[in-house]
Order: sequence, then structure tokens, then C-alpha cells
Amino acid sequence: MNIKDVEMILVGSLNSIGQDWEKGDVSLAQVYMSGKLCENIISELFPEIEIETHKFPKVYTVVLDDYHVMGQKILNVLLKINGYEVIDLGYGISVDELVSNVKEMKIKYLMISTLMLRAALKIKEFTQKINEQNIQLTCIVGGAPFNFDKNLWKEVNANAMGVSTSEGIQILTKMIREDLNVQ
Amino acid sequence: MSSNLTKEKFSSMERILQTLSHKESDRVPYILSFTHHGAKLKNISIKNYFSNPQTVHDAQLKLWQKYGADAVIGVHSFAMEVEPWGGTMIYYTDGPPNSGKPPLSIESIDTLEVPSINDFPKFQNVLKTMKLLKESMTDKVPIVGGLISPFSLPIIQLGLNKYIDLLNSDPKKLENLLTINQEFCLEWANAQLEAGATFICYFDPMASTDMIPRKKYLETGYKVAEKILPQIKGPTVYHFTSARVLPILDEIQKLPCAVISASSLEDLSEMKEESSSKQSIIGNFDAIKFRVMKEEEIEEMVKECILKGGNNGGYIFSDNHGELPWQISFEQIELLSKFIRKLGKYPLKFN
Repeated sequence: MNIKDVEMILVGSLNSIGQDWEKGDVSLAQVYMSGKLCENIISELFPEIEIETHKFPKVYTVVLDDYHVMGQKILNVLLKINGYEVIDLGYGISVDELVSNVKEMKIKYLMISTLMLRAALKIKEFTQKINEQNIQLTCIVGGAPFNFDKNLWKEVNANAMGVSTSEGIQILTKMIREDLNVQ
Repeated sequence: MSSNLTKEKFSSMERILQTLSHKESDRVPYILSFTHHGAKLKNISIKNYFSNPQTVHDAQLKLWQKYGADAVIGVHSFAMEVEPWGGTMIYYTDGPPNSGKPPLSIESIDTLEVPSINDFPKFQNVLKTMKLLKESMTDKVPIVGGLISPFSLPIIQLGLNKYIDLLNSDPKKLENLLTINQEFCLEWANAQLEAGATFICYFDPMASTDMIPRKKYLETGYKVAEKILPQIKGPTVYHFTSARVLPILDEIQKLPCAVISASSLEDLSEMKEESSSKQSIIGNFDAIKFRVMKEEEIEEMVKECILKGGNNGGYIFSDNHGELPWQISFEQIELLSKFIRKLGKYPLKFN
């Protein structure tokens, strides 16, 4: 069995778990532990090999103006298992800091995780500043506030939201493929 | 205390007691989870607001007079519960304080000692607020107390991911931490009741199957609740802070709590149907959506809740999280109060 086969099985499993979480059949702890287990499986079975990353652009993740990092942790693991090179911008980042990061690092794809409504609403301030400066950025959001109010992502001018991390990654992949004109 | 609310047939306390007995009073009781909104009313920072018990009391009284809810909120911010463990609250201008970076590590549990609320001014401020509210409200209006349960407290002590690691790796350390937390929480709960709180909201989101599997909760957090709830010297509300309850409701019903919360993700009529006659439900509108609702949408939402929960008492109308977001305007609250008071009159007109 080679690493690509293992990745395929793991990605399929994690997507299935993500769907179960959306339905309420699986707990957040199980989603988190399944991600950790998958990471461990890869590193134990193939200790010398790193997951081959896509030729796709890097993906950046952040917790904006908030300290609830769980969602981002799960997201980082799942992104890596899906073959993305992930740059973790950390947590508690302010809007201005994030705008600076986007400009300095030339970020094209950003995934923002929030738990608090006030932090979710800060995304609007962020996207406004990005748009004012004509910066091209795809911003996908996720977290509890967006699940309770399914229109909130539009209100904050994000490009999309993921109900679960799996869904968020699927949306990201689709958007990147469209941008790059690849299948 | 003066208000034209005092002219109602039932006092708020009588109304709440009536619904807890699964009887109908004059209308469905409602609780508005104002924690930091008093700062908006007073036009001061949230930090300054909570630093002065008299200010909190005055604001709670004003909010009660304006919006006519059936309780006043004695608690300040739950984020402050991080401080006895070495953490630091973070204040914002536009929302509830945050507990910030988790102060404990799994390794530090071995040397952890039980802190006392007497050593922390923010806790004393809450107790002063409750004493002042008790003087003003006497026995006419319930005063809401509350705390994070010993089982959910590790979320802010360790961080959720580290807590889940602990739950799955080290039962002995987990037990040590939960034992320490129980002692702390018990002191805090009973101090609030002594100061004037009418009941204690036992916030335990970790109990929900949204967070951990049912089996894990029954092996851990349920045992904590079984032990601590009978030692709390007053009625309790088992509150899941928006998380789902139904998958574990059959077990929660066996606990000595008077009220159980309902999530906006659940059908209130199903909750009511599954609930025992010994307990009542509180909930379950979602305040995040409510923030942007138009008047007719608010009316529909209130009507739906009353229709599903209001018959034969056993129901308190409230939001599903236990704290209203800062972003909700007072105009929205005005509309909400108007509709619950109008549509919630017994006998309900749209059975």
C-alpha cells in the first residue's frame, strides 16, 4: 500500500465523519480525534515521507480576534491530509494584523475560523479593507455563528462558508480548480 | 422597586413557580439574558460596568423596568472564571469578555490546588450585585445566578483540544481536575445563593453529544453532575449553551435540576414531549439570527416557541445560549418583549 492509497482512504473517511458531524451523528471530539489519528497513521506508516502537497497555492488559516482554536486545529490537520500546504497564522489576530499579513505574504486563499459572533462580524471589517485596497483574496469562513445564521457569511462578505471543515475544504478545492482552470 | 409591571396579576416569581409546577399563570414567563448589555445602556465600557456592582444593579433594574422580563441577571461574565486558575480576562468594546489563553497545562494538574472565590474581587463584585438586587427585588423577581460546570470548566482552563486529549488519555488526572473543580464550583454556586440568587444556571456544554459521545459523558461529566447538583443549595437550570440536549435528555432528567435548556437546533415540541413533568424547559430562540430579524419574523419566531412550548406551563421563553449578543439592539428587544407579552397570554389563543 502506498501513501497515496492511504491518503485516499483517510480523506474519504474524514469527509464521511464530517458529514456525520453536520447531521449531528458524531461529536466534535470525535472529529478532532479522527483528525489526530489520521495524522498519526500517516507518520507511523510512512515516517520518512511527507504528504505530497498539491501544486495548488498555499492555504492560510487564522482565528480572527478570538482565542477558540479548536476549529482551526481540526482544519489544519484536514487540510494537510488533503494535500495542502498550510500556513497557520495563529489566533487572536486583529483585523489590521490580518490585512498586513495578506499583503506581505501575498495570501490568495484564506480560511477563517470563529466561535464568537463579535469575531465573526469583524470579518466584515476585514473584507471591507481588503476590497478597498483591491486585493484579490478568496476567503472561506466557518464556525458556530455561521452555522446558526446561515446568511452571516454573506453579511460579512466572505466568498463561502463551510458547515464543517470537510465541506470548507471541498469548497476551497472547487474554487481553486476554477481559478486555475483545472479539473 | 416601582414599575407598572407590579400591577400584573402574578409577580415574576409566582409566574416562574407556576410554570415550574407545569401550570399556566397569566402568561408565558420569559428571561432576557442581559449580561453585558447594561454597559450599553449606561454608555460605559464593559470593563468599567462590571467593576461596579451598584452600576450593574442599576442597569439590571432599568432593563427589567423597560422590558418586563421575569428575572434579572445577577451574574457578570463567565470568562472571569478563568482568573482563579491563573488566566486573564480579555475585554472588548463590542462583546462579552473572553477567557483568553488557557492558563493550565495537563502536567500542572498534579500540583493544582482549589482556589477560593474570596481571593478574587470579580467574584465578590458579583455577590455584591446579587445582594443589591435582592434588596430591590425582594421575593418578587427571581435573580439569575450561574457558573460553568466543573466538567466544562476545563475548556477554559486547558483549551478544548487539550481537554479532549485529557478525556481520552489520563483518567486519573482527569478525576483529579474534576474533583478540584467540583469543590471550587460548589463554593461559588452556594455563595451566589446566599447572596441572593434564586437559582443557579449550571452551564455544561461539554455534556452535549455535539461535544463528546454520550458514553463518554455518562462515564465522566454525568457523575460530576450527580454528585454536585444535590449539594447546590437551591434550584438549578441544566444549561447546554446552544448545544443539543435531546440525545442525552433521558439521563439529564434523572438529575435533580428544575429546568433544562433547549437548543435552537432542536424542535421545542419534541423537547416538551420528551420532558418529564418534574422539569421545565428554557429556550430556544437563536439570538444570532434574531439580531437581524424583521418585526414580522420576530413575531413568527415568538409564536412558534409559544405554540411548541407554552401549553400547560413547564416552559420559560428565552434564547438558547444563555447570553444575548451585544449586537442585538434594544429596539429588537422591545419588539421581542412586546410579542411575548401579547402572544404568551394564557389561555393561549392559537392552540
